[in-house]
Parts: sequence; structure tokens; C-alpha cells
Amino acid sequence: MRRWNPNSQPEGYVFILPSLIGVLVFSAFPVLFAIAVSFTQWNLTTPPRFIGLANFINLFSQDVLFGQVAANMAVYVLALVPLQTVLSLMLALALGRGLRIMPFFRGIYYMPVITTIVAAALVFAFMFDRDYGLVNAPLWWLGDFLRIKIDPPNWLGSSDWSKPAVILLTLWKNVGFTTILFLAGLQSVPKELHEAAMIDGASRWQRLRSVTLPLISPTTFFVMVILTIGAFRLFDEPFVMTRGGPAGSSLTAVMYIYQTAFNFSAMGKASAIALVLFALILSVTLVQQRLQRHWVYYETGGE
Amino acid sequence: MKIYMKTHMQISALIVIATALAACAAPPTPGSAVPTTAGAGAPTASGATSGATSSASGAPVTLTWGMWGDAEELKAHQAVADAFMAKNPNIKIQLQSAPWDDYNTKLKTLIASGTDLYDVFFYGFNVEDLVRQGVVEDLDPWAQKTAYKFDDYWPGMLDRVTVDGKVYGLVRDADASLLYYRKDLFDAAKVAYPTDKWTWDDLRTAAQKLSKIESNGRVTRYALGMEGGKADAWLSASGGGYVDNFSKPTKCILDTPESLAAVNYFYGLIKDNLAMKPADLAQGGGDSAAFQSGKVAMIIQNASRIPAFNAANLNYDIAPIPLTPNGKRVAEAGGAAWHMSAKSQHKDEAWALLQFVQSADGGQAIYAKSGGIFPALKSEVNSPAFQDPNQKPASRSTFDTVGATLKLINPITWKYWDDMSGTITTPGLDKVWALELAPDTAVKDICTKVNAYLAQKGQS
Repeated sequence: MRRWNPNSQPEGYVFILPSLIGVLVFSAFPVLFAIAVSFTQWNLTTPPRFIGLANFINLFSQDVLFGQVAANMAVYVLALVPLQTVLSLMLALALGRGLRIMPFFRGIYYMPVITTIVAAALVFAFMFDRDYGLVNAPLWWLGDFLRIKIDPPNWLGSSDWSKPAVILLTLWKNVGFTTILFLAGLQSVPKELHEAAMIDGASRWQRLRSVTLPLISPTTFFVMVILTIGAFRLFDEPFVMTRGGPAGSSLTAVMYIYQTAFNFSAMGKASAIALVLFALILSVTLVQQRLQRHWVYYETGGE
Repeated sequence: MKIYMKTHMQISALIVIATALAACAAPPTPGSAVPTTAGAGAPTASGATSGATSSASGAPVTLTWGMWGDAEELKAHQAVADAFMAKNPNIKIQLQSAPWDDYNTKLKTLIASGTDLYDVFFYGFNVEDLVRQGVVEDLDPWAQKTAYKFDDYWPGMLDRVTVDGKVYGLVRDADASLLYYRKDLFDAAKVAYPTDKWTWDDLRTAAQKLSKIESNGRVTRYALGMEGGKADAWLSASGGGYVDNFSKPTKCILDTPESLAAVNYFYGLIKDNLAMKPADLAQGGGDSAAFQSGKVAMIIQNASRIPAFNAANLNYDIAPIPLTPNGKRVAEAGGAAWHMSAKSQHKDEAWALLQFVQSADGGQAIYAKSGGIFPALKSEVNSPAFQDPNQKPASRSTFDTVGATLKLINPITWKYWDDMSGTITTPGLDKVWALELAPDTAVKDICTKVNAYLAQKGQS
């Protein structure tokens, strides 16, 4: 005798139940389990032992590699995000000119994105070889030509150059993806605004600054957010090419989690690091969200 | 209208629940077998030979045998399984293998969940944890029953798997390092081949003639390519090491003069471009690739490289690693071991398999034939097949020389060793091998951190 109430349709829950079970079992439960494990000491062969906040305290006070990993992440994020944003914006501006050959170049720049990272990293590893790699070959030639002793950088064998090498590989591999995003954003800039600016006598640079950049700021914001999250989650490139680099100089947070969990069998500590990383990414993204009202212009007038 | 809506909802609910239940059907259990009849029949006594293994129970049994390995290694395991099955027709072996990382993760997960562990399995990590959790079977009573001899193993070989005086596994091979050298490169540089009397200075003198350094600083060939971790053998042979005690370390001994001498030696070789920086070696494809391409004239590595070098038809040979100035040498005895699951349903058959695998005329002979291992059994190394000088590498006596010096070099049985070496000692020494930190500064720094770590773990 129940009246059918259009505002309450419990059978909807029944229909989403399979998907909901999937999310709970494969996403929500592992995350909650990891949070629980981070308060224990567990090496898989003995039962977990509750130790409270000891893992976290240990990370910030005693752990030797954590400080280095944090410094590495700062370098990666502060280098990758601006470089890739600027580079892909420049490429998108160049590629959006409408010349007939442009689709060919778009394909070329996107190809690295779809190559397998292992193959790409191996090739780059050979290219970065100090004595015979492609990257140092011009430097050796220059040294012979000028007859002075040049000491080209040992890209993958020295602590100073391993991060730049990883950054170069990451940029090469991923810039195509953000270029496509910027290209889409550039399409949405109305042509009339450009024509109006040209009639008013604006130069190319002024048009870029006052018309293009503000109107693509939602795209720029999106690109910066995903690049930041991607930089924090960096794993494939350093793992294949440098394995954490000489003496942990190119070690990233996710690699450290992997190492701690599977090489040192310290599940509790690995979960603690993962939790700290999650909190960090969340706070940085929230800060970016808050800042967007100052510089992101949405044409609809809302936020 | 209302009744229609209600039935509609009931039917859709039933459909969803039925689908969910169908998806949750229990997976079939692997390797289920008929339980064996009681007693294993009369086992015939034999040394560390396979002898007549107990195939007395007539009922068919399936054993699960877990190991890691790539395709090449799996061929050897399958050959051993086939040979065993030929002798014991009522026992079927099911190989359960995976690449190294996946295998270890899977095994640890199986142990943690306490179910369905393989009857016999390969394991390379801390055995004490397994023993305390009752995961592995004590093998002494089994060995006594079939008169399997533990003293056929090289001295020190079974230390890693012995807990409270009882043996819980059978080590298959030693991780001992050998000095591989390219005879053609030595001939071209007119340098005498390494002998078992070579010392550090002999290596250095030969290296000076073997390294090819151009005038602009580019190096076309290094004399030696060695991973950083292999220097531990020299650390130990000099009388030094990382910590003072392997089961209850209390302090770091890396800053003693003996340890520093070993660190300085390898550092000196790298600094003078006689040895390749380990980071460069790894990045260039590893020591196997460097040796085969002639980028290095010598490498120091365990026996696993032999099959590849034989297949490539290289003109090479082996020798023991050089002696320290005080005439000492050690070789790493650690290596993975075969264990029997304590919860196995077919322990008699599992022991039969274990004994066959670890016998000089059974499994060990088959593994040694591929050449890639340093056999754990003395009788295997001394067998005519192994000593045949027509196989490569030709210096078969090297195995005997090295075998006599086997011992545990690092405290791999200590539960914090992996963590401490991975976070403190290895990265610390990596900086020395990368020529970014001088040895004396580095060892002091490492020891400060190690002592802090030991204090924190409540060891000192």
C-alpha cells in the first residue's frame, strides 16, 4: 500500500549494487586497510603488530632516506610542472596555426605518449651513456675540435645529473599529451576576439597575453593540477632508467613505497609513507583549488 | 499500478542478487590429491644420493613445487621434475613458477594467509620467521630416516637455514663470487692469466695494463666491472664488515681500519678508471653485457653468468677472487633453499622430492649441467661430470678452492638486515663508488647512522 514517491527510489541502489561492490572491494577497502596497516609493524610472514604512530614518527625523525626522497620530490615537482606546462603551451600555439602539415606534427609529438615506458627508458639509458651516448657525443666532439679537455656529465652515474636525466625523459614522454589538451583549449577561444584585438592594433605578444592566456586559463589550471599529481606519483621513468639513481639521488616517493614494501618487507612503514604522500597531494591540490579564483577566468562567469 | 511497481522491484532485486552470487562461486582448490596410505614403505639408506626414493605408496599423489625463474631456468626445473617422475611413477609434480618479484610477493601472501602453500618451495629470505610461524618442516628427522647426509654440504652452507640447531631447508647453491676473465683480451694486452694466488696488488697491476683510457678522458675499456655489493667479500676477508655480530648486532664496524682498507681498495680502482663505476655498469646493461661486448676485461659475479657466456662462445675462464694483503679470501655461502611446507598433506613424497633434488646424482647434477650454479654439495662438485675439463669454463678446480672458503658474509638472517642495508649501508657506499664522497668520511657517516638505527631497534 505504499505510495510511489518520485523523490525516493530505493531500487536505484539495487541497480548500482554491482558497481558499488566493485568500488568498495577494490578501491575503498584497500585504502582503509592501508591506513590501518600504517599503524602496525608487519612483514607478511609474522602477524601484524600494533605500534601506534611509531612509523610516522620514525619517518620524520630517524629515517635516512625519507629526507632525501622529500628533497627529490620537491625538485621533480618544481621542475616538471612549469617546464611541461610552458613547453606544451608553446607547442600547442605552434601547432594550432592551421597549416596543412600540422596533423603530421601532432602525430609525431603524441607518439612518445603511446610508446611503452620500458622501451623508451632503455633507449634513453643508452643515449645518456657518458662515454658513447648520443647526448654527450656533441660534447666529446667539441672537446676534440677545440682541443680542450671537456668532462661531459655522467648522466645516470652521478647524483647531480640523474634527476635532470629523468626529467628530460619524462618531459619527452608526456609533453604530447598536454599539448593535445592545450590545442583543445585553444580551439575554444573565439576568433572574433582575436580579430577585434587585431583591429585595435594589438601585437602578437599582446594578443597572447590579454586574449589567449586568460581564455585558456581553465585548461591551464587543469593541466597544472594533473601535472602536479603526476609529478608526485612519478614511478615508471626513474624505476626503469635509474632504479633510484646512484645512492638514491633519483628515488621518488612511490619507488620508496615499493622498495619498503617488497624489498624490505616493511608493510607498515610503506603504508605510512603512502598515507603521508596522499595527505601531501591532497593539500597541494586544495591549495591550487583555492588559488584558482585569482587567475582562472571562466567565460560563463561562475566558478 | 502500485502492485506492478512492487513486483518490478522484487524481480530486479532477485536478478541482481542471483548475478552477485554466481560471480562469487568458490574457485577450485589447486592440486587436490588423494590422501596417501599410511607409511612410506621401506626407505633404502644412501648418502646424499637419490637412491631408491620412497615410492612405496601406490596411490597417486600430486605435489606442488614452487620456484621462481625465467624460461631458461624453468627448463632445468622441469628436467629435474621429469627425472623424478620417471623414478616415481605414482607421484606427479606440478610446477608453480613466476618471475622473481611476483613469486616472492605471491609466496609471502600465501604464507600470510596460511593456506595452500606449495609442498616444496624455493625461498631466499629470512628463515627464522618461517620457523617461528610453523610454516616450514624440520628436516632432521626426515634426513635421519633416509640417512641423508648433511655433511656432504660445504661447511657453512646450511648456516642460513639452521635455527636453534635444526635444519629447516636445503640450500641449493652458493652465491659465491668468481672472477671471470676474457682470455682474448688478456692475450692482446700480454697479461698473465689470474691464478688462485692473485692478491689485490696483482689485480691492480694487471688492471693497469688492461684499462684503455684515451687522452681526452674517455674510457674505451675498463679492466674490471663489479657491482658494489660484491665488495662485501673483500670487507669480510679483510677482517671487517658492517656489524659486529650476525644475530645480535650491537655496533657498526665499517669504520675499523680493516673495513676501511677494503673500501679504499675498490674506491682506488674506480678512481683510477681501472674499474667501472657500479652505477655506470648497471646503466650500461649489467656486467654480463659489458663482459660480452668487451667493455670490461674481468667481472666478479656468481656462477649464474656461465650459461650465457658459454652460449655466446666467449673465450673466457674463471679464477677465485683475489686474496687480501694478509692472504685471506671468503666467498658468500648464502643462496636460496628448498623448504618443505609444515602443513603439507604428502610429507613422505615431499621429502622424496627434496632428497632427489638435493642429491649429487639427482637434481644437483641436472642443475649443474647448465653450469649456472655453484652446487651446494661437495660430492656434486667433485663428480666426474662436473670436473670434466672439456666443458667451459675450463678451470674446474676453482670451484673446489672457492668452496672451501664459503661462509655467510652478511647478517642475512638478522631480521632488520634488508631494511638497514637498503636504507643506510648500500646508499652510503654507493656514494663512495660514485666518487662523490671519500671513503673515510663516508664510513664514519654510515657508522653514525647504523649505530643510531641499532639503538632505535633496541639492539645496543
